[in-house]
Amino acid sequence: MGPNAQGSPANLNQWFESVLSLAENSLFSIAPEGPHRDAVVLDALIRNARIIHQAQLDNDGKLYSAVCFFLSAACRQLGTRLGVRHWRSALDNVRDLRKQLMRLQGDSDNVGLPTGSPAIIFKAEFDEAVRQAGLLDGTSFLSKQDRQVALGLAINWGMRLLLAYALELPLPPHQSGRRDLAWLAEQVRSSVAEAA
Amino acid sequence: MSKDLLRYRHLERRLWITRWLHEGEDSTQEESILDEMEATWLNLSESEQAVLRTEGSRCWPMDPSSTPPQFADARYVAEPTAWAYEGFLSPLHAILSEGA
Repeated sequence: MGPNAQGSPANLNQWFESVLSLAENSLFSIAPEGPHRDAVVLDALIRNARIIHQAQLDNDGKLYSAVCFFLSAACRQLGTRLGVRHWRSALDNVRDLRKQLMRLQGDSDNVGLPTGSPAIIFKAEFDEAVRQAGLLDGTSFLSKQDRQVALGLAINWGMRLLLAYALELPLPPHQSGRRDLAWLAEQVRSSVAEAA
Repeated sequence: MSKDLLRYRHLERRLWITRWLHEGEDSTQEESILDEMEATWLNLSESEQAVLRTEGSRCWPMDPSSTPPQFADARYVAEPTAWAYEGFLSPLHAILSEGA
């Protein structure tokens, strides 16, 4: 797969740079750079973590903006940016888990224990990571350094949740030139099809 | 759980986030954490070392075959501090301080 082929990690990375830039220039820019902006970012982080945690996975794409803004705020909070390798490992993880769950479908039916889709599994991990990071109820048993580790984990689970969520949405084929949720879904579908 | 094992677990988590932030590439921070882990390892009991050996590295997701960090020991070193606004108490405090 070429660097800018459909479903490539490079494409996802470029897309997320646009998301970061939008968040930086809109959501976070209501306060000047410095401690005031840091507070706005922390608020966005907490608010979106709670929205995702309280939400059920839907078929309408309602979680798209909350997950994108959570990832933007979390990256800013940790002082990092995501790279192509981060997206590659997230895509691989979603694809592999999907395949694994499809293989286990018969076993799951046989014992009457539904395992859930990749999006459900990644959301459960995400929910636990944001809880451990102390973003839900304002307290955490973790030290400041460990809360950053939990936030790093939440970013990882959040990326996977976003990709699996897009993959599982019953969206029509993407047609416009926009790089929106339908575009993201098409990227993940292409990546899954490529590996099949 | 011994203090040294707690320390080792803490360093393991720091190593994980450092590696992840550098997309799995080597960094000077990683080197210094590994040195500290090596020194701490020598203070661990044989049984503690044996447990750690069975677990392998915690380098997920950059190494998909390894595992993510865990916080199982964290309650032993509980610091009940929430995320804090650096420099002021709340967004309201921030707005008021800017307007002052």
